[in-house]
Amino acid sequence: MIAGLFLNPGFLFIAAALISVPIIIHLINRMRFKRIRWAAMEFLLKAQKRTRKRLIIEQLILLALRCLLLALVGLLVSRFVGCGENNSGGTPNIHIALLDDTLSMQDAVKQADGTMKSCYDVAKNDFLLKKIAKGLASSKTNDILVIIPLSKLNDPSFDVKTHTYERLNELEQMKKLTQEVNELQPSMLHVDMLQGVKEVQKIITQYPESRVRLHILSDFRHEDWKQPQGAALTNELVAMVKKHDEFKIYPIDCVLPSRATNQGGFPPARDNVGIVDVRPSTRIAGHKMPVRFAVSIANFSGKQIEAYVVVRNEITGKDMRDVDIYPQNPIKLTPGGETQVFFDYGDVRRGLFFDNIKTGESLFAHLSVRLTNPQLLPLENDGIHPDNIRHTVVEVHDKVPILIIDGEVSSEFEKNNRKGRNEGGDSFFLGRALISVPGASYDLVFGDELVKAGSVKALELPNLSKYPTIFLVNVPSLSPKQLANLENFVKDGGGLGIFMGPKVDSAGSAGLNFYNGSFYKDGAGLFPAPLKQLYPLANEKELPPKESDTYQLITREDKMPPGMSMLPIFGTIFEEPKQREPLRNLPIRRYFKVNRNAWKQEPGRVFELATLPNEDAGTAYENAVAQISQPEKGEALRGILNDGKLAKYHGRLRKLLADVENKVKPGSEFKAYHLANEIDALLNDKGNQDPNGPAPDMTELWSNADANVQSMRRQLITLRELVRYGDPFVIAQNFGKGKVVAVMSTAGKEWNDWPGGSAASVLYAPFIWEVQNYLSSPGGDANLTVGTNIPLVLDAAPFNGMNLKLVRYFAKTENEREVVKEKVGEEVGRVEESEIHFNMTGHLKPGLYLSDLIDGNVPEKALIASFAHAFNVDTLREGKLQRISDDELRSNLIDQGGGRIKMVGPTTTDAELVPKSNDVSESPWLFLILLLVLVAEQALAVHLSFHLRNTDTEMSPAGAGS
Amino acid sequence: MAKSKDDPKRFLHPDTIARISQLDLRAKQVVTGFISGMHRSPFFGHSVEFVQHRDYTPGDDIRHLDWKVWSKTDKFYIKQYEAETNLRCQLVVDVSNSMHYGTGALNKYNYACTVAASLAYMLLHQQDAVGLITFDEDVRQVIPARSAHTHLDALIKAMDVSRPKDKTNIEKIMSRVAENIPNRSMVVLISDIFVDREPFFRGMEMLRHGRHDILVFHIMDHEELTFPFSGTTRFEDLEGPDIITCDPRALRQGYIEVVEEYLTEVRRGSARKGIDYQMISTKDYLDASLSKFLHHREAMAKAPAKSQAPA
Repeated sequence: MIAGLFLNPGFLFIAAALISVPIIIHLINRMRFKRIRWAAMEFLLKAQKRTRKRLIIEQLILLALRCLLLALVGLLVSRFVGCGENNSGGTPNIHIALLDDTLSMQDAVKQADGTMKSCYDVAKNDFLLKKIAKGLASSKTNDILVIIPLSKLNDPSFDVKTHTYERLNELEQMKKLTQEVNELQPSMLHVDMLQGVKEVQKIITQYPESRVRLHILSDFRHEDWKQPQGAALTNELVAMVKKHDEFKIYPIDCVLPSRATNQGGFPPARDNVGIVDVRPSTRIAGHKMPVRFAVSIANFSGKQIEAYVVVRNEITGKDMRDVDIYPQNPIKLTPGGETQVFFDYGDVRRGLFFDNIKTGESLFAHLSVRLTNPQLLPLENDGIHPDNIRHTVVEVHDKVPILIIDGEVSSEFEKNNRKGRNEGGDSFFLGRALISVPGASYDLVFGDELVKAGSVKALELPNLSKYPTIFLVNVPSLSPKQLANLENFVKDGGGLGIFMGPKVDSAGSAGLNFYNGSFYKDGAGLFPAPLKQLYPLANEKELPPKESDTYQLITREDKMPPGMSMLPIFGTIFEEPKQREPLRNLPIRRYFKVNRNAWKQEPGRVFELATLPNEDAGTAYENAVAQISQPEKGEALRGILNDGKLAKYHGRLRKLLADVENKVKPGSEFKAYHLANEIDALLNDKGNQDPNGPAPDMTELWSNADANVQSMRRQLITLRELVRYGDPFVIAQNFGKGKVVAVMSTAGKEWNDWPGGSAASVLYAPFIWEVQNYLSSPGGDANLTVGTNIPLVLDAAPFNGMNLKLVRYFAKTENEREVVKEKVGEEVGRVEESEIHFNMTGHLKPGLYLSDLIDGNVPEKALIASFAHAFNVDTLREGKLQRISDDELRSNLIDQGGGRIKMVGPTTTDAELVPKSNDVSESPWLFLILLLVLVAEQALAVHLSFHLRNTDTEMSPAGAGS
Repeated sequence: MAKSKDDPKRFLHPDTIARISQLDLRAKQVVTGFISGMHRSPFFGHSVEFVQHRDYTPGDDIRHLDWKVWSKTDKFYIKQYEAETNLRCQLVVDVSNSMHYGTGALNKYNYACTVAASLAYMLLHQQDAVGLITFDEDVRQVIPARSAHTHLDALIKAMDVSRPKDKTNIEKIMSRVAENIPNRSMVVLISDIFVDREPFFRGMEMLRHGRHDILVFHIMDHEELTFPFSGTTRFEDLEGPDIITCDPRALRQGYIEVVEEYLTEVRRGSARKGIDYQMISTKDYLDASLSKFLHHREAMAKAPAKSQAPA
């Protein structure tokens, strides 16, 4: 507390010691003396007796003056700040430096001397050390600096205390701070600034009486601070300022070139490209199965950039030159968008990555994809480099086991009950399609082979996780235990394929109740949609074969999940449009209708992948068409026809509208999808150059910005969507980490001719492969970013008596060197009830982390299981280097703070950031007092003859020598 | 420089005298040096033994003109005779411990001995009888007054062998001195008078009763007068158990005041008792004491005449 009253309390003790110096000198002098044998002792005794009292008093005064002099010098050098209000007495000022050390802070600019200077260097050196710390060096002793590196917030071992610095006006403390700050390195992580602000709030509550200054050392990227995404952050900061009177915020933009005050607009930012995702088509692959990898590359700049995509086998450390990148290198990256690149890897002859793989063994194929210049060197003029490389991993087995649960099979040994597996059964077709995959690496496991009591009972087994995919074929219902087990399986990353079948229907209302009840669970269950009924009903006639004037299965690119460039499953099959042609002949005789009215399609989670055409009669839409096509009813059409500027389109428009009306005339036998095709023709009509009567290009009309044209276009599109799509046929859903695909008809030929007997049958096997690939492909959460923790929960029962341990490694890779497993930690399982919990943490570097589950009691015993997770930088969040505009920052943050949020620039001085404490050494009064005491001391000393006068040698008693 | 070179007094500087180890030589040096500086000798008086003639100079007593020579040469010559001894001088030298203090060329004791030897030499050359008494806490040596030239050796030997000893007991000593001087004499006391003033004056009084002429040479060391010390110093009494540890500068002023008071007391007391008193610092030239002595003797010679004239 006392130390708080001084800026240099270290000198305080020196000053205290100095005060005793005159006394010590006196005592030493008393001990060290000359000895003189003296004759005139009588006079000496008399003189002493006479002057004794006066001498003692005078000398005491002199001693006091000298002590006072030293005390004043002590005050001067220890810089007494006093107890006044201005210096808030003993209460400290808290300076919190919220240090953004996320990836984007590595954005570096070349300096005049050729060295690179990153935003992080600016934050650390130019602001934290040269301004904040420097200011604190001449501030009050008990002022506190807390440094919160954002990346540390997710580190459970992070303790704010270890980053709290006090008494920075002492040289030692300042040295310590400088050293520790210099040791700080930018991380690869993305951490939300809001998380840091929450931490700051915790600190503020610890110092309720103190003045708090929050220095936000960050790069103020548009991505993090723009509205509405950044609203939570700015609102929180503004609320803090309003709540605490003694709270100030100093946003410090550390990006070079520096943000000029009131410059307005967007400050200049560097271009950057980065790999957003590298996704294998499956997370578990058979040894000799080719795997397709999709690479998404984002170009965050405003200009086209060329880059080379290079794939490296990180296990050998060698670039894989034989990989064909599609499209070919160099890749032209679209400005402001994402570019997709694909490559296939794996060979049915050589095997994937590994020459040999034992049965039951699982290995991890570790690949990295990176962006380079033509010389395979890092890209020039790229903002941050760590986002130009991305790791991925594929688990490789000799064969991939797939579990098929067939509702038509109740026991392996009861031949009568193996209908589903018999030739022509659902499982038969499904299995045949799967094993026809090139490389044939699937190992089909049927439920009834596992549990004799019945195929479905296999779902009660504990170790479902070894199957990447489970197919439910014609299963009418599941017991709660089976369902719960299956839910956990999918939630943990498994894939579930569901096919309908007669068993579901024959279960009657019980079947529908199960599917719509606990299986669909009002949108929260495994099944992606509520069912309405079988169509046509079992006792009704099957649907007749369709005409081939339209596709019998319409893929829903319009409902493509966000962030995907290609529709799952069908996107790959129909990469070339001509491959869709067989779909014109796909007889689907029965299927389950989805109750669209009750269907809750959660965007981004449930997607309709393929839909049957709308089989309704066209006449049902007569009225809806009339609302658009008749000038007296359709306001938009009226407007267009009255608009002279659009006169050249009038004739063609009328004709095409007449074609549309034709399809809905009473008595016509056109189906709704015919109407949709006609509307499509209207919207996409390119006209012709026929010399007899050239027709204008109608697409030009629809791109006209005229309000009536656009209104009519919207109406037409809405109607087209309404009339084109019938019942959903293939529906996909994300569930936890896993995926579900439901097909509304049978897997076999019971209700359709897809598996055989129709032109579309050629697409059946690829469809099944793609379903399997999709189900076993990594989920959205597989795109792990550095810093993510992964919990692992195991059922305790199979590991009874074991001391489960998770030994963790980082795969250290180097160019042209084989990978080295670097041990990073070991964790003993935490038993909670019937589960064993692990938490894998510390994934701070991009790359592959491997975890071996072993029995700690017999560590030499073989592995129980291995896991591998590839971690990458968060390119999407960190790669966008555009900076928040000055106006936006000002209006959303600075101006909201009532003058207590001040933008800091390079011209801001340390005194502005850290208020300097005034100490008495700056007061002229102290010097005056010091001078007076000095004069008094000298005067008294002279008076006491401690200083020789010029006349001293001549001084003698009067008359002496005369 | 030339002036100082010719100045015969240069031989009287204590530093010069100190270089002469033998006391008798010292005495000779002092006295001859002193006399050669005089214009007129007062030492030639009435005696039966003719010594020399010299030229008459105006102012000479014409009674001493040698008319016989004038008649033969028509020049005025003065007849000079060796004077007769008519003075008994008793040198009383303090050899107590306190006299041993001194920082200059000569300490107080040496200085006192030199003064005493010089006086003895001069007196013996004038045929006066000189005696010596040395004392410290008591009378140590008593050499009766004699006028033989050879007596100087005895005196010097007595002084030379005397080593300063204990503390001075002045009253007792003075009574002993009085006892040892039967006739009216001139008593020259050479001491630092670091004694109680009352017994000292009583002792003097006692001597005065014996109708002795008393001349006091008060020898003080220069440092005892100026107290020039600095730094913490422990002063140990030469003659007693007293010890003072002090910063001398702090005490200097008081010391000098006390010394001044002391000197004043001694001077005034001496004047009151009709004692001729001279304070001499060991830094002073030695002729000061001789000069003082001669003045005193002159005054002594005049005093009886004055006192007899009215009678």
